[in-house]
Amino acid sequence: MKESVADNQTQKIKQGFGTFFFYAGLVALSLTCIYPLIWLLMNSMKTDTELFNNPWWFGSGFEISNYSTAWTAGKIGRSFVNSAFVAISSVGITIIASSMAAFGFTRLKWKLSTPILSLILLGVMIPIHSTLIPLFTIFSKLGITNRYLALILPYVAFALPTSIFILSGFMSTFPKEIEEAVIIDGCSMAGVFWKIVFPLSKTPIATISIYNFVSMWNELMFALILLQDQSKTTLPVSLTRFKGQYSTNWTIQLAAVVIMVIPSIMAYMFLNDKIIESMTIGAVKG
Amino acid sequence: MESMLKKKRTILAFVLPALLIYIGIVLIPIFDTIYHSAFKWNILGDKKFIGFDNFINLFTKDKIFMLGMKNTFMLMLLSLAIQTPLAILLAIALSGKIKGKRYFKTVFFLPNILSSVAVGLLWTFIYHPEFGIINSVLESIGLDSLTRLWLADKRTVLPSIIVVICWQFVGYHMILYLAAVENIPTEIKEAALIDGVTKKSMIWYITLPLIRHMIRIDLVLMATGSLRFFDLIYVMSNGGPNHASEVIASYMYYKSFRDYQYGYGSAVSVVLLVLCLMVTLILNKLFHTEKIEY
Repeated sequence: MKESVADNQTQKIKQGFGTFFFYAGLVALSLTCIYPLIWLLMNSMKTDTELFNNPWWFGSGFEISNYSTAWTAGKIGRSFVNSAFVAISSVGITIIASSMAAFGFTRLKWKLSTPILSLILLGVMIPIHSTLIPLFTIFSKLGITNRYLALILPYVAFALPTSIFILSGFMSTFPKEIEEAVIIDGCSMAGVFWKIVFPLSKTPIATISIYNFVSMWNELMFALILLQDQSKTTLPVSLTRFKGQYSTNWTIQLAAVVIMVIPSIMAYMFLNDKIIESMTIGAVKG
Repeated sequence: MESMLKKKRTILAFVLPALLIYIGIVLIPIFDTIYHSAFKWNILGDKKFIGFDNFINLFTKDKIFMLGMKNTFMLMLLSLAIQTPLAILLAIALSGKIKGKRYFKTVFFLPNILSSVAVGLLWTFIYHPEFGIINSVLESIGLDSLTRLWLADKRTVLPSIIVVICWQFVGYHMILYLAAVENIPTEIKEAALIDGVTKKSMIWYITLPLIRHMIRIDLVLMATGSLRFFDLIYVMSNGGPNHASEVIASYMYYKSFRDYQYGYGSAVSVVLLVLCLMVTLILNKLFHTEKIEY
């Protein structure tokens, strides 16, 4: 009897320890995720001397000038606008092209529908690297490597497979009666799409918008090669060039990195569940 | 009604825009790359057909390419070996009713939304020999002898980058597994508990077998992702020092856009494409599983 009480107690203590270590472990891991970002923010507001003397904690003042230097002299501001323009236009075109195509594949009746859809879905497996040299040489010949189009076209093309996949999965679940009713009312096919199907698909459209925006905003390889005009370059590329230009101005570089990650983190604060869902849905449904 | 759904012009109008962009920007370039991999083609000078010579050179003479292949597979294996168990464990840990679940989930996923360029630069600072966190920690606990130039030392550069890869992506894989683990019906777990299965063996005998569908998907994602790896390498080491951290993708970039050997670069990217397709097929064959429906 006594023994079992003691056993019970050790059991409880063991469990207590278990729970303690369980949460301590999780908290430690979450700090490893967050501390580097806090470290980044703290040090982006210091002078270089202060960074070397005290890299661990907040400095004495706030060198906001690091940000203004990065934004204007470092041309990060310009690239910020470029990135936003490229990502927003590419997402817009992707939404329209992929929802129209998904409608064509799932709601209209034609023989080649399935094989052509499969051909497009194969694109998920294709690494962008395998298209880089031809795209560069062709775009150079066409003289568009100094236009935003040189980035928008590939971004849209590589966003299509996943987007069409998600949208056609969704649209194939609509009941057939929707089109029937609308057509009997005298609406055209375009009317059915724009007035009924497109608005009904706003959830998956939000999903693909977030997913594609995040990857386009962050994309490096295409941006590095296909857009040669320095004044039109996107943020990831300017950050890599910035590194060379301000190679010893550490805190200015840190400020530039903060400018790049702030919009992502802000959006994530408000939309975290939706963003997590959007970025993983392609894999989960696969 | 039926006839309206079959009208050729309507179908073309809906499908053609996407199809044309896809064919023009993805399919044609792929075949162009394959075609040009059989040429000696530098930026200056004519194209010359040389058959399989580029590939023969890659696999027999090009030591840097072989090093890049080795590094790529090293990166793939280590990512798999570190991230898969960690992601599954975290998913299991977060799957129950625990305090702060939302916080942990959100925070572990956070590095994924950041651009790899920003992450790469951030970690370049963290590895910085003078003010970086790593060396400062080592010095403050008296392990000065372990401090080094992490990204400039050919022995430590690749492991250092792999740490960053895990830091950035483990949360993504965790979310995938979390969805799968939470899909397991509680009745199954309760029944197992009644049958005397302990919590530890539950992971082996119930959880893992029931999430194997997701393990397969995730292995394919991780393996093809590792083959394509470029951004962090480009930002953190640019393949250096002296090619010590070169991977297939960075080597393709180097050959095509630094040396301007388009033909040779095309051959490298054909190898990459074939590897991606092969890895997908092999992993899918190895882990042939049906999706489990409850």
